[in-house]
Amino acid sequence: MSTKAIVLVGGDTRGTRFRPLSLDTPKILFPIAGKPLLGHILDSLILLPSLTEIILIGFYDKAVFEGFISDYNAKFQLEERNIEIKYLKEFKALGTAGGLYHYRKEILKGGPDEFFVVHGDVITGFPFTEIFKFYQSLKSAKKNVEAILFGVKINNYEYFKVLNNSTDRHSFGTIVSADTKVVHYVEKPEQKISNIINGGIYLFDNKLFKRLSNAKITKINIANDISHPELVDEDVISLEQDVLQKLPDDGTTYVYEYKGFWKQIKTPADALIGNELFLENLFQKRLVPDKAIKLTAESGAENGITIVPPVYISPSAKIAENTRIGPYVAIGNNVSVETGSRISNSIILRDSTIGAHSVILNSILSNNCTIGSWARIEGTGLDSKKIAESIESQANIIGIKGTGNITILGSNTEVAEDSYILNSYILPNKSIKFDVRYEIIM
Amino acid sequence: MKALILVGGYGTRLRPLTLSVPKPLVEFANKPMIFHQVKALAEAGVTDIVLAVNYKPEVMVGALREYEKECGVNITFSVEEEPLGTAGPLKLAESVLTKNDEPIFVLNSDVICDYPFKDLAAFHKAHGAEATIVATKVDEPSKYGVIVHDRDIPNLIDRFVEKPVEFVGNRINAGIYIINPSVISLIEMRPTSIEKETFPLLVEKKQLYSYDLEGYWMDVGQPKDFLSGTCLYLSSLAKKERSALTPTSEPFINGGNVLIDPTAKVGKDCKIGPNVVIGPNCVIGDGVRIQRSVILKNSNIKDHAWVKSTIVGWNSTVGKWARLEGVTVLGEDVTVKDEIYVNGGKVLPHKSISANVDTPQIIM
Repeated sequence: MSTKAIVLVGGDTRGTRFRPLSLDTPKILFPIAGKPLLGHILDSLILLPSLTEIILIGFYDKAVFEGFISDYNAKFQLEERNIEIKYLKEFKALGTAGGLYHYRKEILKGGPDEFFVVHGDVITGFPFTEIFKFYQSLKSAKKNVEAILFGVKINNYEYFKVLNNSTDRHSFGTIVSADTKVVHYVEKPEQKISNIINGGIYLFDNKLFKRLSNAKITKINIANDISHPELVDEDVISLEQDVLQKLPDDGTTYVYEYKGFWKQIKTPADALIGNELFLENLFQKRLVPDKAIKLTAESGAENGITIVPPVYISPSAKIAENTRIGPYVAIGNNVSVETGSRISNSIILRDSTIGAHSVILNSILSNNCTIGSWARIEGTGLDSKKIAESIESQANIIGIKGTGNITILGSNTEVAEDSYILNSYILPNKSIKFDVRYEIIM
Repeated sequence: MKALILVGGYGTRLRPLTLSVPKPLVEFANKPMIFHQVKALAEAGVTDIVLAVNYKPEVMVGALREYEKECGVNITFSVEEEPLGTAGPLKLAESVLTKNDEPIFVLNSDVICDYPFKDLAAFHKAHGAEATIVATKVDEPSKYGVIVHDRDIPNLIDRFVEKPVEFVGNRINAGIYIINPSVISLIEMRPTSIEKETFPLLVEKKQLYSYDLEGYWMDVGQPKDFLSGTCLYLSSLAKKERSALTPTSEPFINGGNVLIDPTAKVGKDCKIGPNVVIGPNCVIGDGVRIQRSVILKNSNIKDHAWVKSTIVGWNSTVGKWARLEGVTVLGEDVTVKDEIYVNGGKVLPHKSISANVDTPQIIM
């Protein structure tokens, strides 16, 4: 028995909404709670005993994933797991299923029984083993099952929409099911028809490739049909529109209903929410996958450092005394936090220096930033209470804009002593000597 | 000699501070504003001071009783039933002010400078005319009433030009005068302005001279100018009486011009200055940064807070890692919670601020 996992990692011509962070790091390798987004996916995937191969498909340059792949190869060796990991580059953006079709031979090599397909830009609890168990239980109950959709059950749909920047329409795939059997799938419906949305994770058996072939043939036919009103690129296949929409007709698709946290990472503000959700999840489950994760309040009288959990602090980071850190803070390698600093709800990537008595709130600091003493880097953050109130009062919800609620410093940013930066994006390699409010500094 | 200080009404321009304390008692450089004037007048040989007020709070009466003793002067209140402008109060207090023939100092209570009373009196006697206006130079005379002098007689005022569109001079009325008792007989018993009604009469009679003020001058009647005036005062003090300031040898002093009451406590790792006044019994925590600000008595600035261009009212608390700037004024007994940012907030007494104030506004 063998299972493969395909992670759709996207490419750098997409993900522009993740700028300026994606100027330094591909979105999928952006560290959330101290670990690249992709690392969170892989670490959950390898809990599957039957996993034999992880294939990353995208259109980034191959070099982008080299370091990451060699890290994981080393990890697999250390854990004596016989798992292969590789990156397959699309010759252009092929849609969510074009790459699967293009590399079908590579994927089917070795005769795997089933495949996880995972969208790389979501964060969730990644319950792959539970989905797999659900699949096996259906099979052992003699059900005819060829696909499992990971359905996220939304309790407060309106709130969820706001949190996910979805305002004018329902920008999620929506799943209608009867006793876990999927009876209907709509991509981005105009009306709310169900509170289970497509979470971007699927488990398919081999029949997927038959469906992909059919979708491809349909595409070619449309592309060659001169009477068709729109120009169609036959190379591009959408998993959602060309495959999932048709699946329910055969009655072989089921939904794994998930009630935990789920968030699509589109903008830098999403990364900060993702960081919070991840750390909070670990906190609530009392999981300590890594000793850098601090889940208990530490208020050392002897060192004067106050930790408000949950936070992630890299073991190579240096934290000085009289500091207060947390909640929802991730501090990367070789960061130095000087005396009397305050950091809350923020991601500090590698090699930065946070000056004495400075304040960092709701912000992301890219690599190698230097923050002067008494500087204040601040984002207003998400006011979930206010969102809930405006939903309740039926006010017109304007949504959470990608900018404006957090501050982002690009790599090598220098912020002078006493400076204040509020709700602004600073592109890499800038030196900030004055106060900056609601601005993008090029 | 005698003096009249025009205090006037409720000092609304200096709210929220004047919601708790009458304007003359608001501390400027750790001493009530009026005390600076009473002391300077006493030192110049003034024995009787009349305070022209619209209202007379008990707290003010009590405070001035103390200054009477401390400075050895006699202070009386002249309470106006209705606001009488800048000249009416002189008429109201006529009986006291015209007891003898000595000239009378008249000053607006909002004005701070190096009060030149002795020199002014000598100047006044020397030219022998009925009144002298103290004049100060300003950069932008177009916003004020400008003094134009006589072509032949030095310092004799020829006329006033209100908000001149063309440059006619850069000396303006500094709000401090010395007049002979006879001037009061020119004033009618009604609301009237000394600048607009009495002085033009004197100009006509060639009886009004101006005296050039040396050094700084500021009308500190509103928060922005209160802070600017504090800077000017501290700079002047640094030149004239450096020992009155907190010595720059203190490790936490940055750039000088800092006046800290000896009963205030300052924590370690602070960076304070330039241009800071810290009042009695204030507690400044560790790692605090203060510049261009006034912290009034009994206030508490907690660890790592950052304060710039701000007046912190009495008994207030600024939380850890809070940041105040942009002419923020905290009234009496205000609490700013930890990590809060306040930009240009005017906070009324007894409020607690627990959300950021990004843009200048009044917090009721």
